[in-house]
Amino acid sequence: MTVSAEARKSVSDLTRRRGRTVFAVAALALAVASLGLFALPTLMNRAMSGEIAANKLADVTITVKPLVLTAAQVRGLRALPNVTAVDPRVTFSTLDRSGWRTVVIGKVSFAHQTVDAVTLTSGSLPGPGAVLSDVQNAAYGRGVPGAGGTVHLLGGNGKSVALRVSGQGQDLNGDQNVAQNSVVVLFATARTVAALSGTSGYTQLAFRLRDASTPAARQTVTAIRRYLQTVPGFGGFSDLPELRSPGDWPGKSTFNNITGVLYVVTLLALVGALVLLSSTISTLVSEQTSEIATMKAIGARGRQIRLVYLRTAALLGGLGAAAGGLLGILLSWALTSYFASSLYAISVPFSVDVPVVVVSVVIGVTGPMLAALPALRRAARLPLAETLQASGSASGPQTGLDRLLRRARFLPRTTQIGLRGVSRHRRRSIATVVQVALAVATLLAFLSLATSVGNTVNESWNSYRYNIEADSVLGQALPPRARMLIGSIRGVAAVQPQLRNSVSLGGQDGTVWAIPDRPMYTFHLVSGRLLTPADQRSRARVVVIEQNIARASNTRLGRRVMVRSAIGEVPFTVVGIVSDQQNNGTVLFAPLATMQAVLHLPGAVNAYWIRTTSANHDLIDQTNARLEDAFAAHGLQIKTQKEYVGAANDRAAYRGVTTAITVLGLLIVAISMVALINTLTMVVLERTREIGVLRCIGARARDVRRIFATEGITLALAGWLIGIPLGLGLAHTVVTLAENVFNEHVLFAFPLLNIPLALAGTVILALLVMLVPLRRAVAFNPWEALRYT
Amino acid sequence: MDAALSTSPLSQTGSAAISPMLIELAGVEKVYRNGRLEYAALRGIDLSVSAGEMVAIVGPSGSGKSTIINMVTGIDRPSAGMVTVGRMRLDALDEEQLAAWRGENVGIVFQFFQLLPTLTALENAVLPLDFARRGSKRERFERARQNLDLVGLGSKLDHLPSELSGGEQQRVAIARALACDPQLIVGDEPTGNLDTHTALEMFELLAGLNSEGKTVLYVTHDLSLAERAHRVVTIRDGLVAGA
Repeated sequence: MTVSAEARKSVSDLTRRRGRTVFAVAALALAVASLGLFALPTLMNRAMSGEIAANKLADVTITVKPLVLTAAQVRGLRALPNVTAVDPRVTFSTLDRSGWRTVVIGKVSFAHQTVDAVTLTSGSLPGPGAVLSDVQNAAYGRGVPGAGGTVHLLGGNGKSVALRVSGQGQDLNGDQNVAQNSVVVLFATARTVAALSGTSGYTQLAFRLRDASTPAARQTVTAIRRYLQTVPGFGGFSDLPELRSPGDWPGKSTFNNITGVLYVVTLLALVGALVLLSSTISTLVSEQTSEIATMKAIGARGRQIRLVYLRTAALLGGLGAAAGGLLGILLSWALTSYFASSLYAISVPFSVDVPVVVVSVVIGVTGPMLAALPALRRAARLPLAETLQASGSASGPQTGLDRLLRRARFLPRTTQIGLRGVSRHRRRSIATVVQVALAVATLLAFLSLATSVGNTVNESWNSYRYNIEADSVLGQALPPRARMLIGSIRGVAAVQPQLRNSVSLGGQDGTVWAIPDRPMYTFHLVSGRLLTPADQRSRARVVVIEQNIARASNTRLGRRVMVRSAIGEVPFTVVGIVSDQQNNGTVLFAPLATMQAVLHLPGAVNAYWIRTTSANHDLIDQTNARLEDAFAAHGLQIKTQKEYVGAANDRAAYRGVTTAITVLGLLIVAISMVALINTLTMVVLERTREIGVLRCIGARARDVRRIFATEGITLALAGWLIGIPLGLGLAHTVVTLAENVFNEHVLFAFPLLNIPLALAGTVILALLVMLVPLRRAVAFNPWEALRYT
Repeated sequence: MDAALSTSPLSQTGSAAISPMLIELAGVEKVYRNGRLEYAALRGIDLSVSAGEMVAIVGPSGSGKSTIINMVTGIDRPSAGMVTVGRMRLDALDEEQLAAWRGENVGIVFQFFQLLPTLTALENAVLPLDFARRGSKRERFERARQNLDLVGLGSKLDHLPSELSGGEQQRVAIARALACDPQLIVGDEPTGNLDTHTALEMFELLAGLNSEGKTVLYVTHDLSLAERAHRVVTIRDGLVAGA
């Protein structure tokens, strides 16, 4: 095929400086590939929709105090309007022989599962005296044996019970529970669980609805409540009913939060890549000033010249978009597979989000062309007669700064030449400074985010003045003897009861922590006041709420608000707002006595804060073990959390997230640094002829190096200086964004130590990237350098 | 020669019949300004060149020789006066019109060749035809090949400029100048960067083109080459000192 010379020029301009082309294409490919992150929600939804259908995920889950239901009553529930299926089940929390907290879910039948179905992946369904192990138990090394093996669990009577493992099964809720809550999840028949726990009745009722929209689901919940009130032994809902919106799956909001943060990184990466491409095309055009003039001289119209370079930009874009698109497809699939397998143990078939790929490729191809336009507009305006004489890029006009530098006689000549080079090539210098500033700003902003999140987590955990927290399973009330039991355990210095319950405030989900006087907890008051003994005594309907839920529900200090709880709506007055971050800042603190009265649960408690006699970790571990054993021996179900372990896990988890974000932030820094490499390489290459002249008139290699090092360091310094305020602004933006994404207040921090670190990094990098082109330039003999094009 | 490529550009853009006077510069002045500094390169040039003539422009450095070439080719615009080439008033055309006009009507040979370094000899020689969209791609390459044959470079079609000697590069530049078969060939020191032997060969090429009817206007420092023109125009301090 015959290719026109114009088209050949577009191609050869890329192959002429292969290194630069590779850098530009690589940076664009990375940016386009990162756009693939936008495909994650779609791919995950696609993968999960199949699982939701297979698992027959519940639309409404209601937690009740243990309730015995007859087959007829279950049929009655199924016959309620909008209900298509109901599955009563019982949950028993205990310990296995290795000390793992184990949740056993008892189902009526495994043969005809209509809600939250457990899919058998190996072995057989569990019969009497057998359990099915969640697939994630094996994946997370929870020590559950395979089919045919035996697990030993602590029964409700405090004795060890051996249960045969029939096989492995998969269940979205169970999978996520194993992955995120460090527990063992087992499935068994309701009868097996009753035999194990020594109690009868169901603790959860899961429903599938014909219309799962929130209003319809709420109506159905009302009908269910009304029906259950006719059932003997019904003691009300233990917690706010869980409503699953259509298309929701367990952990979806957390997953979307993570991808939300990744989007910011993606957009910054794209901006960085486009700045780089703009600079690349700009350099390409300016180094070809003379060629553009020649083309004009032999009859090329402005449109034709623009077309030559637009084609080059499109080729760059095409290559970057093709590589990036492909990489993006693989990246999005790999990340979806990673999340799906680690959270839910499901394998995701290869899938492509076509609209995201198309948009990525279109942005990849058109972005560089748009980024090239300013340079092309400049090229079209070049005066022909002058530019025909140009030997490379225009030397630029003499500026005021240039004149000033000329008078700065105290500067060594080489330094002066270097500085004047910066001032003469103003446009290119500005572009480089912008790129360095972007890199420095991104680095500072992401380091700030990491520190801010770390500080927030630390502050949150520093609020606790207890060492162990003991909660009942599924929010069920613990009997009064529990407190005495805790008090009798060796190592326990003090114990405080609490009542926790799910609520909703202004449409926002939250939790009430009903606490006693002088709690083992330090509040961070923002406005108003804290709870007082008088509130407790008078059972005042007052709450102190966390800032996040106050903001989200648009609740102000002093307002009378309606709090929706398991028993319906209850009026409260907001007397204080705190900046604490419990449950992502969605906790409402109320007097314990008030909540017990409001919920018609006099004396009810479902959690304890326990302070040990010493903060020594060994002692805390020993006390915790005694606590768990004692509760299990008394047939009481609790889950405990050691404060120091929770803090370490939480810090590690946040460190993991912030490290991932920082690594992605470094991607942007890398792209910007590629731009710096590109520009500094060009600074040297396009002035090879000038180097030849300098060498002809006696400049030694070190003189030449000093000239360009001055130029490089000046650009890096200017970029660093501008990058500091830019970084501060970006840090505020990123932290605010993280707050919105995680719906949590983050304590802003901008460590000053990072500023000199960024300076050192920038200058060292600038000097390093100049090494190769400078070595090449001074290696030319003057004759070659003078002929260099 | 292919019908699609064989046009008479000057007659296309100018009059129906070729004017005996191809180039006319009347009272042309050119003043360059750089900040507060002003420099008059041309101070009122009157110059006429007939079709088919071979004219050499000579003069000391800085006298305005190249500026005259820039005026005739539309590379630069006069500050005052009229520039007419083939009845076309160049000073009245905008940049785009000038580029199109130049591509079809003038072949320019520069002292430093000004070849595009990433394109082969053949691609450099075909470029003006691409810009002018003359004929099919195959026809354009065929024409470029013929021109390179004409200048004796038929065997180095695929060589890059860096792989050619100075003389060979200038031959490619001449082949490129001939691409659209222009009536006017303009050389700005076309032999200035070549050794004596090669310079003579280049000059023979230009003289040959003139003998085939093309008008040749060139700037030179070499008086022996200037003397071989039909007419020598001497420029001094921006004025015609002798013709």
